[in-house]
Amino acid sequence: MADTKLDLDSSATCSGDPLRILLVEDNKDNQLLFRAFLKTLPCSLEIAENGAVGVEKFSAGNFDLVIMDLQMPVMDGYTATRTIRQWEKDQGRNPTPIVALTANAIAETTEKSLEAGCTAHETKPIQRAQFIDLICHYTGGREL
Amino acid sequence: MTTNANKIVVHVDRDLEDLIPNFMTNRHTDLAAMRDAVNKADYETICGLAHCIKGAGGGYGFDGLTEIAADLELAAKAQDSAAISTRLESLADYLQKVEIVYE
Repeated sequence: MADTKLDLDSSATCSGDPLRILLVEDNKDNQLLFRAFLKTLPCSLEIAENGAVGVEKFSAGNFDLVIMDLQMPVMDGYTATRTIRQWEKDQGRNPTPIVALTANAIAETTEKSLEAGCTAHETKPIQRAQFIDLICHYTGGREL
Repeated sequence: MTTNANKIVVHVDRDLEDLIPNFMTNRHTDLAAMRDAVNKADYETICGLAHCIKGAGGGYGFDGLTEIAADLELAAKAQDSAAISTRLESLADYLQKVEIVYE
């Protein structure tokens, strides 16, 4: 855990660019918490308050990682993930890691999120060290 | 978390200090909304709020809040008013006794 944190702090990405993360999450308390977690790290965090805004922001930006809540108003995380995966396919783009981050630990949710196209399923609540570890893990291809 | 009869001491990361007053105010607002909802048998509202508290509490360091909210969400799903009321009292008790130490 400490090692991955150090890697991120050193901001030694190949290109020198910060990691671009899209957080799709309707809960304000978690939006503020995750922003605080990343405050001192070389990451840019874009926040979308529901799945529909998430899809819009995703297709307009260029993200290294999407962190996706599942239960959200307007458009839930399953539909948003499916829409993003279809868009990537249509655009001929490589799939971006999408990590479902939810307060539901039941197996059914995990299966459903993976079926929708999520790369992985992790559970909330999540503390800073685990959150940073998660980011490092799923952006491993960036050679942090 | 350390507990005695009068207080529940929770250690919270100093970097989160600015967020805590609002976080606590929001939980008191949630509690009032859920007390109102249980009187109206509005289980969906309770379920939604409990789900949010469960997913956020422990991230800030309030593991006890996540535990109470998880039970509350289950009680709301089961539409069990008596269990909901008991959990809401646990939540009220927690909010009253919590003492935050920043470190």
